[in-house]
Amino acid sequence: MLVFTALLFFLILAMYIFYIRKEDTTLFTMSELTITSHAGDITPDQWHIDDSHQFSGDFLTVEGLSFPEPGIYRIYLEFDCDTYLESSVCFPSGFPQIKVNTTGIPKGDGEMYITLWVSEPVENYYLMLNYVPPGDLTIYDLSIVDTHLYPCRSLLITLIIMTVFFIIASKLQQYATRHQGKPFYRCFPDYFLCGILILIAALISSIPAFADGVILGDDTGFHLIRVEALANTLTSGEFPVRIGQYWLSDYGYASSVFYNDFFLLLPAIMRLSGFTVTESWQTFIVSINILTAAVAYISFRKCFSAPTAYLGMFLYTMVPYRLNNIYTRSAMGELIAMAFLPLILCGLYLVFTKSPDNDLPDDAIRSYGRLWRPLSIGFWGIMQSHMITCEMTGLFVIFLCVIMWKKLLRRETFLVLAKTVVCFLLLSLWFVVPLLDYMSRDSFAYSLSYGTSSLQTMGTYAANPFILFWKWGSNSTYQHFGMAHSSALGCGISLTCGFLLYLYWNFTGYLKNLSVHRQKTLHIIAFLSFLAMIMSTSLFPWRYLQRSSLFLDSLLSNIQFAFRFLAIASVLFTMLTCLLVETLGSGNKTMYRSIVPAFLTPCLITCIFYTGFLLPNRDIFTIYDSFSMGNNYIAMGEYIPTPATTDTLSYSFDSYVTDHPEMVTDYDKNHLNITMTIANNYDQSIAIELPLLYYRGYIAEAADGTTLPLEKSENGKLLLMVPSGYSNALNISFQPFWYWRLAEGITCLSWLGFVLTGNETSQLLRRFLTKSTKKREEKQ
Amino acid sequence: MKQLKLLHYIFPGLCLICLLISCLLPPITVKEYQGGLFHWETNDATQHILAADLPLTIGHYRFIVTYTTKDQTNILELQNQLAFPGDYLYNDCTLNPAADTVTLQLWSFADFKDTSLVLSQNSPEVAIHKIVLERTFGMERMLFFVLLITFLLIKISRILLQYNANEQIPERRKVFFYLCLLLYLSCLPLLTDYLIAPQTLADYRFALAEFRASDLISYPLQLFWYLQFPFQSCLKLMMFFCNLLTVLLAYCSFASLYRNVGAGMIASGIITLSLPRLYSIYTLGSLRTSAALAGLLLSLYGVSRLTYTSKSLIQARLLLFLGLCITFIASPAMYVITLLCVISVVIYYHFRNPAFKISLSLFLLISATACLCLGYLLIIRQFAAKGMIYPEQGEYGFMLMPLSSFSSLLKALKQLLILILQKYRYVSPLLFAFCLCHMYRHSIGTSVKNVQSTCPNNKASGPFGGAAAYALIIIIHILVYLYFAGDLLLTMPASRIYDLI
Repeated sequence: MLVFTALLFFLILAMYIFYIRKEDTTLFTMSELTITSHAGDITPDQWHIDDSHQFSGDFLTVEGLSFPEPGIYRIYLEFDCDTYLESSVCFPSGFPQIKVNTTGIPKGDGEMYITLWVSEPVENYYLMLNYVPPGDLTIYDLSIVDTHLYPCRSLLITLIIMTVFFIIASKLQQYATRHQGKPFYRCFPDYFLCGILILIAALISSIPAFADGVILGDDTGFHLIRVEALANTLTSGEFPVRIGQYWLSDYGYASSVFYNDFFLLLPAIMRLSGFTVTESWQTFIVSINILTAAVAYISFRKCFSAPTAYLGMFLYTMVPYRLNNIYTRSAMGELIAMAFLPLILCGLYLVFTKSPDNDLPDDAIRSYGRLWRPLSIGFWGIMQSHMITCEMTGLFVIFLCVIMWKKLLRRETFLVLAKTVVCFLLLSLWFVVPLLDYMSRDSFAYSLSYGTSSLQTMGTYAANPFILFWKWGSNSTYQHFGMAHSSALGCGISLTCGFLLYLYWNFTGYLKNLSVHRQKTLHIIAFLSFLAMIMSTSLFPWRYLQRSSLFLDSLLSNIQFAFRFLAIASVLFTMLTCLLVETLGSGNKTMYRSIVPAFLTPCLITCIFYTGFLLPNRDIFTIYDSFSMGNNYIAMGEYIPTPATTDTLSYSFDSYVTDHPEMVTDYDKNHLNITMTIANNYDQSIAIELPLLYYRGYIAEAADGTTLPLEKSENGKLLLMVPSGYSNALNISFQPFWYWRLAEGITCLSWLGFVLTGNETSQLLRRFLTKSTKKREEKQ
Repeated sequence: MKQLKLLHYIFPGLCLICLLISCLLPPITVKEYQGGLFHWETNDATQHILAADLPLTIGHYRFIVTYTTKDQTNILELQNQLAFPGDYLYNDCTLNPAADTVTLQLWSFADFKDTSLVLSQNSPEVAIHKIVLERTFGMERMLFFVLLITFLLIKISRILLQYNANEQIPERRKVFFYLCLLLYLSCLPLLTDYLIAPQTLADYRFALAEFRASDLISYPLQLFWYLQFPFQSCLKLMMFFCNLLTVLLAYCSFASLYRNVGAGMIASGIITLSLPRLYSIYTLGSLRTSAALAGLLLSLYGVSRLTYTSKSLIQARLLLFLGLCITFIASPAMYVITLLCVISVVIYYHFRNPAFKISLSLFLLISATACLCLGYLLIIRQFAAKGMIYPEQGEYGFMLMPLSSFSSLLKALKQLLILILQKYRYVSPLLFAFCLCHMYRHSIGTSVKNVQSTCPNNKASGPFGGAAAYALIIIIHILVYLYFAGDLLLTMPASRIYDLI
């Protein structure tokens, strides 16, 4: 059965790879198209229009297009345009079987494509080219191709479903092995309930993601372009992606080096498999919500009973700040990082509360000794998603270690934490090495913000924890407008009530009835959560800390917004609430049954109110394809090499710049690769500024293997220095350094080791080895 | 014991002395910029540095600028490239052509040496004659006052924790925690670094009028302003003290009237977080009604002490007298309501627990306050006759109507009735609290005659449900309030007003 499933899986995988690699079939070339022109100079080679025609509107219609079968088709366009996204390619309404966006034409001399999702055969379809003066617009080529990606979507879904089923089946198998004699269906109720509740929590928090379009948050545009850049760069065979090729009209942007996009692989693969931008983005949001709910449940279940773990999962998944990160701020990195915070907290909780004493049974010691695994995964997850959250988490882990210094010095505890650090670093080495390499050897725009902004003004108020119903609002900084139309910057009333319950118990002396150990745990978690909460407000003396030293300022300036500490506060408050509920439940079952819904109800109401309020009030855009949303939004442009800034970038498909253009021939730019022939007949070195942003790693290599030096121009672009008398054909491309590749290799090996030393894998291996030894013995 | 003395007497005493000294110290002139050096005649909107490299450290400063201008378009402001928002608290100052001197106040929370005073010139003619930079001891005053208030709050906390000696300590702590929570919740709209600017306030004209009108209710505001708190902090402090008084007095009066801690807690929750009261404070920006409500509660507390406690009768009478006076000063209509409430309570308890002497003394006291307030009314009439105040538009209007004929008397009474009906919404939570406390007392089986104290988590259940039912009512009340407060914070625009210029 297993073999059959595996065979089927690989067969589908092979089909998927076949279709995804299949060459496009051209349906129409430019010369085959039936056109009707209303203005401009239309020749078989090119279509041109400019100011002299004194025309604005659809200057050309391409008619008689037919798509004989459902599929994903692309319109390729080669153009030269003087304006950015003013002129466009428009499509008629009245064809519900075709999904396509009106797409603006970018500035410069470049190429673009528009994808059409055709669900039923269509005849007599047409498109219009719209011109908006001023400036020239020239179309050199327009062709329509069939991409053959249509089956890939269903194949990918099948592969994912099969993987999920495989995981469930392996869990059932494990159960059956553990409870020998019991029928496997006995475990269905538990797993079923667990799965259903995780899905409910994820789906409730995903309600707005089921809208017919993308809800545009503050940074949605940036993340959508990250996905597109990742997908585009993957097609050129670069993995892992370092410089995204789609960014800034193919100037290349090193977002991937600074902002890890490992988790964006899911929407990127979906995009490559033919899903629309909206579909892949919405699936991504729902997946993160499921991941968050699942990780929260698994983590809290390790520390508490099942009902408390469910409560913790709901409380954490529906934290208003988390929802705000999805739908208002669209802070996807922070959102993914939040999914891993419970894992770290629960890992540390177990490390510091469990006893690794030798008089315990062997399993317990092993279990304690293996706590570094969830901790490593937790830290790895945060590192792969959001560096700032990583920084904040590290800060709080240091606080905790200082508080628990006595336990930290225990041999077993120290070993677990040391293993965690080593393992997490090894697993993240592929990302850390290039990041540190760039940060230490070059300067980028993010460093210019040091000392210019204060976290003080980016904090919340003491009133925020008590806001019951967060409405949708886009105001995240209270400096100008106060809390009016504030986005949901709070942990929610349920978690605040949890903290108040702790205060009440502490103040009235109830806590004294508990064990010293439990009291201490509660005090520490309450202190840390209160600290995180205060740090998220403008009450914390951020400005004095920032002014105290340059090092602190650079560390704190990176955080940008003090309210980011709400992520840490949320997970700590959830832990505190769970701990209090568990404490209460251990003594009084009736109280336990009533307090769980008491905490759950406000949290559900707040979440449903927020999501319900969001949908009718937020702008929703149905985006199908990448070029319809442009490629130039880089937020604050933190990763631009200085001295370039967002103001100095050209945002267009440009060519090279030099004082002696005649020395360059056969120039061709294919995304981040440039080929050209150079002949410098002058007495001096000549500089050529190339249309690529300067990042170390680009190499100008001649056919004979010699290289030319590349420098940074005063515009932050790549500057090729051609020595006097040099003549050769050059290829300029990005090639990662050897030590980056080494780091990638180490990470791969570390992952292999990590998986092989896992409980399940080692069991499988042990079983396999035992079986083969037995067979050998039998044969003998 | 030594620690207690330090906390309750020595430290507050020292703070008080320091506060008094800082109040007596005159401002120090830091720098003077003399002469008519800053005179331009251009048509362009330009910025001119009037004084550069100002040596500003943490403290309160005044820029006294003498000038001549013909129109109201020129603005004084401070500039510093390195300062973060919040380092300096000040409002830009528009030069008024009707005056020749303006004082710009600055609260500095950072040490900078490169701050400049800049004039944004938008008119052809402006002449700056002289700029004087003074450092006052305002910041020190604020600091010592805050310390003093902190000690006062500690003292109040101690009194609350010692309120009923028969109780177990945790019970007192529960009450204290509950009251603190109520106070915090009632102050939610104050926990920002700005003032909510409601429609009716319209740039704080109402508040400014209230502040500048020299009636007694604005004296605390005047005091805070004199202590050099930024204007918005003055208003916030006033609102905070109103809330504090309401929480405490509602608890004390009802706990005392019903001889029951639970009743006090219920009443405190219902009254403090009542929407009409908060609407009046935060949306209408009117502190008078809330102050009058506090006066009403104080009167009730005085009555309850007079009725049930044989000890310290003078203290109780004083409380009643003070409560009635505060109510009258704050709102005459509320005063009438308070009189009605107090008289109803006295009559009710007189029939239940006849004590002729106490009732008589109460009526005498009420009459005395009424006479005193009448005297106050006469003063207002005199001021109105001289044209110094215009009370016809306000609540005093009905009292100043000529009472020469029966019809005019009827007219005045009609107006009074309308006012009472208008104010009724503010007292309605009080009546609701009375009803609830009555039901609660019957539910848990204690009566006025039974002096035994009952804690709020008493499990006894009567015809109107157990203690849990009342807890649920309070929780729902709190949730409704939180919705209101959240809505207020998330919709109302923000105004940062530090100075009165």
